[in-house]
Amino acid sequence: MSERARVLRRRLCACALVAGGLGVAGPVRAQSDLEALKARAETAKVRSAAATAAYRTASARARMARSDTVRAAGLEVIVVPRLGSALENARLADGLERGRSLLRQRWGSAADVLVDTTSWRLVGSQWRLASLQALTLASGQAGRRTSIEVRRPIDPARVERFVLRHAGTNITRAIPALEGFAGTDLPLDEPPETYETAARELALSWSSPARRCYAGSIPDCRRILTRAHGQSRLDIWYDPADHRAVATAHAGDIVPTDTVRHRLRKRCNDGEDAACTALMRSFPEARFPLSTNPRATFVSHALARSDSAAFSRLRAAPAEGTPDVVALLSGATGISEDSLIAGWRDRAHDTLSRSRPPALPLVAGTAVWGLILFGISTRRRPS
Amino acid sequence: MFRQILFTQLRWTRTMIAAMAVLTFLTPAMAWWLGATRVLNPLSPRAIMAGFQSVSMILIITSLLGAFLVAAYPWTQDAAAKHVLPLSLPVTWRHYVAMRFGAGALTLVLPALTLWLGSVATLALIEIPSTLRAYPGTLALRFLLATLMAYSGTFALQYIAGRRSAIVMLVVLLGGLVLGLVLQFAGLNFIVERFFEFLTTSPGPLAVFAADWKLVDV
Repeated sequence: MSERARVLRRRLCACALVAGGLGVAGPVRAQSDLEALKARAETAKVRSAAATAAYRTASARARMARSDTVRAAGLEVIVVPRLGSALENARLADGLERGRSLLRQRWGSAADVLVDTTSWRLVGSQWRLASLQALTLASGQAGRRTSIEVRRPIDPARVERFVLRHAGTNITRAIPALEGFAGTDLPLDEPPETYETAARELALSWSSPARRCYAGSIPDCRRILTRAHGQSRLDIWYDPADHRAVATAHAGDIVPTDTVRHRLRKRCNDGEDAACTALMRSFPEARFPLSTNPRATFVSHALARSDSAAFSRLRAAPAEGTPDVVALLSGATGISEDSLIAGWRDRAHDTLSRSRPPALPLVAGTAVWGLILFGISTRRRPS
Repeated sequence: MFRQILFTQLRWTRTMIAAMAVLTFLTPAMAWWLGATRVLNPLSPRAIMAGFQSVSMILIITSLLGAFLVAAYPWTQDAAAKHVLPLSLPVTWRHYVAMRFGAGALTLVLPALTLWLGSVATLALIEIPSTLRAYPGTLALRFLLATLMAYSGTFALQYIAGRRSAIVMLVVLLGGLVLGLVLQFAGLNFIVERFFEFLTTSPGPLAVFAADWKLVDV
């Protein structure tokens, strides 16, 4: 190889080395830049979160510094000063007193466990003008916080109802035996709507015993209020004639891949009663004929008629092995099962009857508006 | 004279009234056919309630549309002749408008009657469970009141705004919508809520439309 060729080869090798070095160095540098940027972004995120938290804390402190505290009946409500707050705070305190004393009047100091004594809040909307209209009263307990809109000027009766309603959300904590039967929210304030819904559910139920209960049959009410377990529960809650209706009503829950149930459904639709029964029984949580709402009204109806001793007895009832809530409530309140059930059924029935608006005001209103509009239409005479 | 005005009113609006009457007669049966025949247990209380669910919507639309036409059409006929006849009659304008209003209102009783008949006929073919009750009379009364309310509103608008009634109605509707949106954005939606509450609860003018329109209920 000549000297010239050797030099040329060396230069080529050098060039290749430089080019290779440059080619590798670029991605390596970019990678390290990316890592650095990522780290900076993470740091910025952490700082931003810390700054936001600090701002929130400072803002809450500033609000607290401006806020008042209303204390009544062992309860504490943090309120933001607003126009007319002195009078309204007195009404708020009055409502709290009334609600708490009603609870104590019913069940004595045993009911204290139902009331959350951490700080409650009375806050307005973020829109100042909207706060002129209504405020929100919220209990402070995390997890089971309840709130209600309170129209201004504050009505103590509304606050009183809220205290009862709030206590109702803690009832299954106080009386574990009721858990699973009446849900978590018990309408201790007994609003008529809940009884109306209960009556509607009874009247429209797939279960014939429930419908007979609505019509006045106490033994049938007893059947549908029984919290039974196992396969026999369906025989208690439903008549054989109801099986088809229950099965077809819940047929929408069958997943497309469930060929067994689809076959049962087809046979049921073709008129085979045994297939309907099998399909109904195949639903795992089939099917308490009433939702928790009517059951909760039954419990709140019984509790409203109980004394403080009854409440203590209920609190002491074991959570396990007490499927018969009717017997439990009857035993605790000292009211016979039939009277308890009849009172609940009659109340639901009467509430529903009263909820139907009478036709006369509607007729009178239409007549008055018709006359007003007729009067307006004669005002302009064509020329 | 009222008889003559009633006669002309009937002549002008007979097609509309007949169409309304036929529609209201058939509405319960149609609603049942559309709703309940798709349910596997058509005789259970829930299925019966579901079966008649569409009755309210059909009847509200019928009452609004029918009343609008029955109020507006005679006015357009009068306006086409530049109101020469009413102005040449030996009665005051107020008296004439009262007779025209009364004649129109009277014709609207017919669709309410056919609704009652249609409801009774349909219910006679269905076995109603003991926990449910049928309300054919109440439904027909609600329909009559709603029709009369819509008729009075349209009549007033037509006789006040004349040929510009469509524009006035559009302006009122758009103005209300814009005002509602402005109040919403200003955080004053409670004013809008209160206003709607006033309109739709008794004795508000639209209370009859917001009332329960169920043919069968518990």
